[in-house]
Amino acid sequence: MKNNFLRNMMIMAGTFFLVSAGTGLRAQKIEASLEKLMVKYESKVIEVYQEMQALDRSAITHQERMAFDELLSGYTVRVLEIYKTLKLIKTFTLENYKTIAARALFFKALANIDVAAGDSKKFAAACDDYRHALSLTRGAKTSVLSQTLPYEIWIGDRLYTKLAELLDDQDKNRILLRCMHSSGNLQ
Amino acid sequence: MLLLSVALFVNTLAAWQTQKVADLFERAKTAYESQNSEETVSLCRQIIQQCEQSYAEPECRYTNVMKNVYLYKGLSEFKIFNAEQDLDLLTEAISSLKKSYELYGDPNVVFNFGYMETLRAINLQNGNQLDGLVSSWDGILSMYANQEWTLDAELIKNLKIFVKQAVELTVTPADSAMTTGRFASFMVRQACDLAEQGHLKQEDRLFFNVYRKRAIEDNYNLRGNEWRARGFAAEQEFIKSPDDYTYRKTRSNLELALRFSKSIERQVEMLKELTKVALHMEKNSSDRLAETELLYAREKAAQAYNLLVERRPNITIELENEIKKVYGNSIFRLVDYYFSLADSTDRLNAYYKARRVGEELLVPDRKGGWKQKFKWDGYEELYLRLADVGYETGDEAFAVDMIDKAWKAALFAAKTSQTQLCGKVSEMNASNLILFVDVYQQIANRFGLQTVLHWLRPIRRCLVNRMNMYSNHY
Repeated sequence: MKNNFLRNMMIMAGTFFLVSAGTGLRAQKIEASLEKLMVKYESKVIEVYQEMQALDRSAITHQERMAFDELLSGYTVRVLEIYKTLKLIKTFTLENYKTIAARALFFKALANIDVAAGDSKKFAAACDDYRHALSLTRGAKTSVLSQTLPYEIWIGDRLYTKLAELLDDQDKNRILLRCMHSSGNLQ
Repeated sequence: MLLLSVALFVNTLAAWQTQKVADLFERAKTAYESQNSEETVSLCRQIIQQCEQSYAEPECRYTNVMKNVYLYKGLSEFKIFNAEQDLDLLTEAISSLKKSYELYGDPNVVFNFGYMETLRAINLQNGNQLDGLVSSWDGILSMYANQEWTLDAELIKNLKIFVKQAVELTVTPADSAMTTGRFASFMVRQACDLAEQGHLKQEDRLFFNVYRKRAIEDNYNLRGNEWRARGFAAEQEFIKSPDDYTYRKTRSNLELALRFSKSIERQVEMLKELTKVALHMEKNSSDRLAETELLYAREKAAQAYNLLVERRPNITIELENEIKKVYGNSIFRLVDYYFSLADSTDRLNAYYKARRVGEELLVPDRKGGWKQKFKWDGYEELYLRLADVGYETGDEAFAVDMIDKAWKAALFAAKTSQTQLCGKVSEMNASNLILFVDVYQQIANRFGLQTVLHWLRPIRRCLVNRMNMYSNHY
């Protein structure tokens, strides 16, 4: 009787261990595929941004730049969704995920001010994204703006390796910087 | 008491007259499933009206009911639009589906209204309405995510629909096309990238390969690429049956491709094709004015050649040679045309006209004579015809210069030299070369060039012998 009890206990413990290990492995697999997808969608954000910048700034290209802006927003939303999912399924969120999400938001903000042309809603959205991006990376050892990007960004014949350089060139009127002054502090 | 009875009666009557939303929804669902579009739309409208009342029934607040009401209404309106082609119905269908999407973010619905928006833009020939493409793409990405990032046959079908619409939207006529085509081209490449991640059937693989190629050629100029593709297709048809209609169709497609070309390479290619088409028309059809076609061909070929010289496009040697050939050929054919007019009209005027045209290809050769700007396949024929012109107009220097160049060019084309003529020249080359010798002799006779005649006699004898030898042999 005692032997039977011991045997059953061992079988139960074994099953529990196998199920836990299986679940853990599956969770790891999901995380890995989500990570890959997040990187892939970030690269799409960059691709769209570069393609958008290749258009001349004229009336004929306005609709196309608007469409690129919408497309870039769509990809950014996906990056943020994956970030939120990873945050939920992981006990702690890696710095890397936050950086990717922040970078995507920076590009969204830049694309927004690029097509805003007096549209206050677009400016407001750009400010929101910029603040959100900064709040995500608050406390990082090196500011995300000064980090060297993991890829090259070519706009025209100019190469950018840091977001700060891109921000200096693309946001000449310092719109995003002024967003921070008007809001007072980081959200 | 009486008043209360009357009020109760009125209430019962009203309830009897207006059916419940739940019943109406069931009827709408049945009508939709039995593909009765008119009835579905009418029932859905009734539900929406009833739900707009201040004391709406609880079903009006159920997402699952209302998202389907708008969905059935939108899809049925679209079916009616397909039958009647009334754009107002399409607009109505789009707004119904948008409402359904607002209530419940179904990716299929966003794809569908995106598709409809693009369809409306195509129907209105308004190439700058790109929202539909953005929405469809959003739907595709969401469907892809819903299927755990795998592609099934349905999604591949949607990707193909998306690509075709993106192309169609970009090729709306020039006057209404208000974009550069870059966005649509980019979307085509995005769709091809996504499709290639799945296991594609051979025909699907070919489909995406072809569209990707069109999208990336010529600085992503989808509109230009599409006109080029249409131009080439029409050209094939035109070569088979060169009539006025196919000629005009081919020319207008190629001209649009030229107009939308973004690179010098594409421009020279299209100019070359236009020249070819005009020359083919002149040669094969009797119902057009030959001179008009030849002048058009010369004009286009000259533009292509000038671009070749001034802008140095990065093109293959084959294409460069072809451009030179069509330019040379169009000049030769025009010279020949004016030369042939000399029999019927003002003789000298026709000859001088022919010479003026031919001189377009001539540059000084630094020996007091003239040479052609470039060698092309058949350039000896132009020299020969110009020598004829010199002979007829009595210009000794020009005639001798041209026939001398023609003779050398003919030897070059036959890949032989004067010393080898009596040894190894084929029958075809011999019969071709003898034409040049005859004209040379004619010119020498007219202008009394005895030394030339003395030098030509043995050459002619040799060529005649070669021809006789071959004819006896057979």
